[in-house]
Amino acid sequence: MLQRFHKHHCTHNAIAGTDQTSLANARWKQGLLQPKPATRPHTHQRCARSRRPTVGRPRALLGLLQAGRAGRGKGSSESIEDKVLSTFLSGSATPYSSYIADPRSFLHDVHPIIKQVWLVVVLGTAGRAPAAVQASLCLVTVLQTISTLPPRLWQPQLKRLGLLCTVILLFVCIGADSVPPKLQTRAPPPQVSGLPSLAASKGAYKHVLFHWGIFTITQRSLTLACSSASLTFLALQSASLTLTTTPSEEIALALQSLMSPLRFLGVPVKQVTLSVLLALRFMALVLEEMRNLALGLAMRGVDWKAMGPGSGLNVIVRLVGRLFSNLFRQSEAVAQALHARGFVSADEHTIYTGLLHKSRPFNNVICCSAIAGLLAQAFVHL
Amino acid sequence: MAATASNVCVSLDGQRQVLSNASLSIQKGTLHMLLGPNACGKSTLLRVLGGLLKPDSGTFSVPSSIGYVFQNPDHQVVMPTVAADVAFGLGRQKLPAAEVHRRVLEALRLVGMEDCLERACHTLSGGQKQRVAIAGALVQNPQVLLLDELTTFLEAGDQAAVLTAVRAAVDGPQRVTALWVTHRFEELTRADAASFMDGGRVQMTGTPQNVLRRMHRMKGR
Repeated sequence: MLQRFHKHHCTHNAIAGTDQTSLANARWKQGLLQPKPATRPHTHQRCARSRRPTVGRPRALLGLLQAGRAGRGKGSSESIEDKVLSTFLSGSATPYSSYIADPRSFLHDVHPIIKQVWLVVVLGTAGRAPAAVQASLCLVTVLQTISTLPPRLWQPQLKRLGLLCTVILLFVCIGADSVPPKLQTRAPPPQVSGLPSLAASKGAYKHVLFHWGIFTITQRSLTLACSSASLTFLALQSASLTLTTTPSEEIALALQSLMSPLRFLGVPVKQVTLSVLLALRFMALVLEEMRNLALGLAMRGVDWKAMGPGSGLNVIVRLVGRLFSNLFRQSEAVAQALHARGFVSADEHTIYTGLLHKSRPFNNVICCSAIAGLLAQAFVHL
Repeated sequence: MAATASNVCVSLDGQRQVLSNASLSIQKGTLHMLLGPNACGKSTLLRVLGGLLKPDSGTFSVPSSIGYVFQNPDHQVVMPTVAADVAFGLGRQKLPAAEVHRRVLEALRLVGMEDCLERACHTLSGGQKQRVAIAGALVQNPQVLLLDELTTFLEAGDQAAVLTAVRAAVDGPQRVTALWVTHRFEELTRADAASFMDGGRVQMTGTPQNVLRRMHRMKGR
């Protein structure tokens, strides 16, 4: 009784698939594509084509790529193109540090403008602050992260960032003074001028803290390394905390409020804000489109080595062209949907935010005090 | 009648005739399904009724307030979070925040998504996004909802949830009229009326059972 007119409803991937099919057919004729292995499960192919890949299936997608690779035999090693495809397929379509509504934390109830001001103040002052202040700020940020985010998020986040900052710390510490500039002093050395050498420092202070072979760590390089590492940590983790505790539309509207004086200079502030909002929303769509194209290519089990570098590059260029073509098509559909929803222009449209939660005065006062304290210490150390 | 189209003709690039004298009448407060094979002109007729496409000839009449929901919810859900997206449709009306909140909540309740107010849109499933898109259309209090193949990308569970959401809107206090374009016969069971399109024109209109019976008779010939 119940039936469908057409078995293939997969119009979503058809856009990407049309060109790829013709491309694959051409390659097939040239003998550059390997036949699909008989061992590859047919159901997987059908499943992957009839459904849109979603965020939670990177392992399954990688499996498809591996199956394609296995079809080319044991001797075939992974080419650069395969590695690029693996990267796309294993990546998530969810942008980094997306908003997390639940559990609610102290930072969720802070006004977004205050969070943005905090970011600017941290970037402007932390670099020149004493090491104790930098360390305190990092510690507070770590504690805030742990109390705000669930463990499954803060643990990998802090691990990755900790590793990055450690690498920066080591490289700057060793590199800043290990390679001294080749400068010839214009003044004669003390031995020539007959003047006594400077007396050795009697205190504990030593400019050179460590010297071994080409490696030299000085007071200056250590300070510079601490500043670089702490500034990197504070900038990235504070931004991440802001993004995870503030809905994107509130971030954009806070930015609009901060940018509003620019209206008098003719800057289209509302249009810029809406562009930011749409960019934040459709970032995931762009990532998913890239993954769809990569999946289409992975499914064909292309033997990149047999194709040679020229043909491989040609395929990549054509795929990039297809990606932009698909994205423009999607943009057009989005524009039509905006029109259907009553959108005429950014100036005449109100974006409603803060429908659910208002910021709490207590939280705002605490954060403003922290900003004031940071600014005060910066003026003291000027 | 909530919406009518009479002898509507549309051609693409002045060559290919997509609609040729298509006529359709939809009764108020019903869920009307428009069926037909691919490329028979269903979506084009919907676009004409939605004011997104100008017909070459023919007339059509729809109420001033209509809501349009597209096939791919990724194109329609434009704001990063659910509440902001549903409220987007009210952007041209200067409403107090409390009123916006009430209407957003009401629309989301109709589609069974009132618990997802704060969710980021990219974390929703296809069916959930589609229901958010429907809520985004419902929040504007439309008299007619135009729904373009909403279930194409959806799994069976999501498909049923979206159908239930539309049914709830039609049966709700606002008595919305819905025109649902589909090519899935199983969805006919939830409809009040149906029309079958082929070759750019509406071939028959009636109750879902009658339309199904006549279609099977046509197929048997």
